[in-house]
Amino acid sequence: MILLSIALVVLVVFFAIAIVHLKRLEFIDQQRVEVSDFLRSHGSLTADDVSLITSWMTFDYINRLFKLPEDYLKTSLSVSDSRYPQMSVYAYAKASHTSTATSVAEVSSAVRDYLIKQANPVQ
Amino acid sequence: MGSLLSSILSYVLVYRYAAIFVFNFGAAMILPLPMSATLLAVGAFSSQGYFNIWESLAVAVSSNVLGDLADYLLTRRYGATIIRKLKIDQSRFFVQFEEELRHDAAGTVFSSRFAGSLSSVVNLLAGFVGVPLLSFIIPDIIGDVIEPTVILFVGYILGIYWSNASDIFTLLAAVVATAVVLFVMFRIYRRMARRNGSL
Repeated sequence: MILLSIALVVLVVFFAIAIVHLKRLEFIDQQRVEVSDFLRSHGSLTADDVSLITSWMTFDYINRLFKLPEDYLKTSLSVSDSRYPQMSVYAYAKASHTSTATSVAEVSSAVRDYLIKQANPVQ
Repeated sequence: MGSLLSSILSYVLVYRYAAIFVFNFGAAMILPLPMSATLLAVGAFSSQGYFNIWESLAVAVSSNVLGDLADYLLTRRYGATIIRKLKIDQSRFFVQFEEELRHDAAGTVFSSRFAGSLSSVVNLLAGFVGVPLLSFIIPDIIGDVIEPTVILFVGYILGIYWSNASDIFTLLAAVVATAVVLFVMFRIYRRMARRNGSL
């Protein structure tokens, strides 16, 4: 009985911490859980979606996610590492001796430029 | 997102099904890896065409089952020696849990598949107490099919917004695991109470 009581107390404390954490994340207020965003989750990504790019993503995955030509990022970022495209943005940052945030920003910028050009081709 | 999960996801993207197998196998054995969030991500990657969801499911199920079986066979072979050396058999909780396992191996094995790290403990104990292989492997396979199926398909549905839900999903997984632990502890308590004549 004592064990059960202790377990229940632990559960209540765990839930309380989780609720505070979720409120801090403003999870309930997040716009991204709107139905329209949910439906977009399987559609084509646009220049507005480059904020999804994070350091754990590989170039191969980013190419597929944003439907980029395989060598576009290699050329635009001058990536000489033979591991491309099977290397993460984090690994690229380490190889380039830059910060992860800078590399994510560089990749995001390159992807955004490509998508904008695709959406507004020069006549 | 934690750095461990980020690292695992990078390896999964580079080494694909081999990485899913290795990490899932390790987690099934005993390693505290965030496999719920990882499989959620793999489900999302499948929706983007980076993985095949059925192949991912097959890899997740097989690695889960093999990891559980490895624990079971390890203690079946060496369990008595290890437990006696560590004096774990002198713990009252261990004795009660062992009795629960002997009494209802299939139910305990099945329900522990959804209880996080408890599943590894049950695997090790099942081998130690000599639960028959069929009584262990059948509920193990059933549970190991259900859990990754749910996670992978939730990830598939969530798509690119899987990371928004990974925190809440991890919370839900923890709630389910806690509920299973409480359920098993309640059964142990009820058996103890019956033996003492208070029920």
